Amino acid sequence: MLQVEQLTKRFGKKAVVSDVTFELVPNTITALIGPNGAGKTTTLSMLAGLLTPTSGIIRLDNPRPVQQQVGFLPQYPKFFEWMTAFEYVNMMGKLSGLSTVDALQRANDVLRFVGLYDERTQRISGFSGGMKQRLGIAQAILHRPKLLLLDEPVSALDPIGRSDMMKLLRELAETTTILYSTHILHDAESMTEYVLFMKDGCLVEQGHIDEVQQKYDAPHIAITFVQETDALQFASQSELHVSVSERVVTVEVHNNKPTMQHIMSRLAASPFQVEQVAYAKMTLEQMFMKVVGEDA
Amino acid sequence: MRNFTVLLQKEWREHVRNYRILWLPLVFLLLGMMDPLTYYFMDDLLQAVGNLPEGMQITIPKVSAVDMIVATAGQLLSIGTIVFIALYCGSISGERKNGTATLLYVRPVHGGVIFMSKWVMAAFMGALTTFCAIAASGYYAEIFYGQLPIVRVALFVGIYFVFLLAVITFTLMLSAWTTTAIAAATSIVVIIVGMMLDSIIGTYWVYSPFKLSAYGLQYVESGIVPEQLMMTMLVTGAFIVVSGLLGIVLTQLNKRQTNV
Amino acid sequence: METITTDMLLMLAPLFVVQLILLVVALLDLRRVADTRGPKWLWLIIILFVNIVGPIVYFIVGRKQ
Repeated sequence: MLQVEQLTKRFGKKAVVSDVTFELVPNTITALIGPNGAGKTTTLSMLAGLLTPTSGIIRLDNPRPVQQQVGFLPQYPKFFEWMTAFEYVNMMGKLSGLSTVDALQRANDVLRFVGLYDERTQRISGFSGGMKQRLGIAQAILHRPKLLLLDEPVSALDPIGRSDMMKLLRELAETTTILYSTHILHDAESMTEYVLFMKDGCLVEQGHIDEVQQKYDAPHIAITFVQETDALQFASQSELHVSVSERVVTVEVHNNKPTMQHIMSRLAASPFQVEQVAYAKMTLEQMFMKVVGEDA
Repeated sequence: MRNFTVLLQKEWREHVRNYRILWLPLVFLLLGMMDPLTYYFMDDLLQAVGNLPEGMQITIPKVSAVDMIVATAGQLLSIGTIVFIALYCGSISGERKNGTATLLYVRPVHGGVIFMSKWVMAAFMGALTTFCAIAASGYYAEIFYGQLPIVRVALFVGIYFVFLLAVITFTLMLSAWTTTAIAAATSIVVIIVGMMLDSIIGTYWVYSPFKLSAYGLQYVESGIVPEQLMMTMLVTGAFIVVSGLLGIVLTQLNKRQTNV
Repeated sequence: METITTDMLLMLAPLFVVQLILLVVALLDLRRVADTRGPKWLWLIIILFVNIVGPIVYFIVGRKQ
């Protein structure tokens, strides 16, 4: 589908993206995960043909120009706000090379798909953030691209907008390969098959989410305390491998140590109120921290 | 070609939606009316202001209809030029800066088509406004001061339009090249300083786009075609073509400057 | 002071008409745009009370492009 080899972008002497190599599996969703400033936007811009790489190869299966095969949604899509949603999408369709009839048909189709059909004759200037994001998706999928590049498509949305957007993306993934960037790992978890972890311009880990999980997943036990202070106190007193996030303390288990019994007895002896103790799967966030931590 | 039509339609729509298609011609109508009206009512105006010493007579020089066109032409060259620079210096750089260009640039659209769509729209507005200003001025000039030599005025409009095209092309080229602020400052400085230099030490050369406006004025005043006019037109034409080509190249090149 | 004659008024009619249309267009635009450079009410005053020049200055300076 898409192969990227040793992709590098320097601005002056500073390498913003260096030596990035990966491949996308057709009709899957891949998350490009990394903190702000990791080089995600620059990578996507190069794939979209907006920036020329300093070196490296971007290869698509099909020899047609990149612009015809790729749909791109920037993090903050900006529209000609004096246009109506329909006018905008219709114009962009024609500029993407659709015939006049097809552009008309597609404009209506994609607006219906993203749920803006009833607002199609309204000016974009009156749209909310969520509506603009959906319009952004509409313009990106207009020309039936095989590859969709989305820069932080959900980060700016409220919870409802977020779940709407994720539903749209899952639907699109049936026929389209999607690569999207995010720094909110929680969003990625619920819909991602493949992950690319990026840090300081480099890919530090990649693969199917289950494989990566297996690779890094030491089994662990999650203890949820009632009080956040209790969690902190328990963690600070413990000689075990622990990490704290709000009220949850995660204890790593190596060679079956510590055992659940051990933890339970420790907790029973402590004055802290516990809500839940359970074996847990690693979250993407923990995985990312671990991947990045080991690399640093 | 189809991309061009689509983008020209976009430009047109923008001009309609922000009322520019309406207010800009209106402003130039007013600009055209201003001079004939002030001259004609000068007497009344001075008396209305009323603090003239007793018995003082102001002799207002006798003017002809053509003088009104000359006066309006002067307004077009100064105020008109600045208005066009101010309105079009951000056409390309502005869309890059605010990011609206990004979704255009990820599509198979050549920078040249983008530049040309903006150029044609600006040129149309230039023709429309020039016509409005001269027509308004001419209307009052004929009412107050009698017949105008129509052919002479029409030819002058043509000459001025070529000058305005040079201004528009240069401004758009700068907008393709750099940021709105720098483009605005540069075109204003180049055009105003250029005009000044041309009038101060311009005796050393006879052809330059700046001279075109001077020759145009000279022609409409006297009705005699200055012998250097043709050549100056050609020089200005070449300047337009070069600026235009540069603008096309720069629009394409600077696509990467767009805010993602 | 000379009296203003009907002839004079008729002569000036086009000026007034153009000025009026410009004023109306400026007000329509001001009502429609979300934001202006500087406070909106200030532009309203400028458009309404600065003859001729008010609307022009609004269009060139006051609009955010």
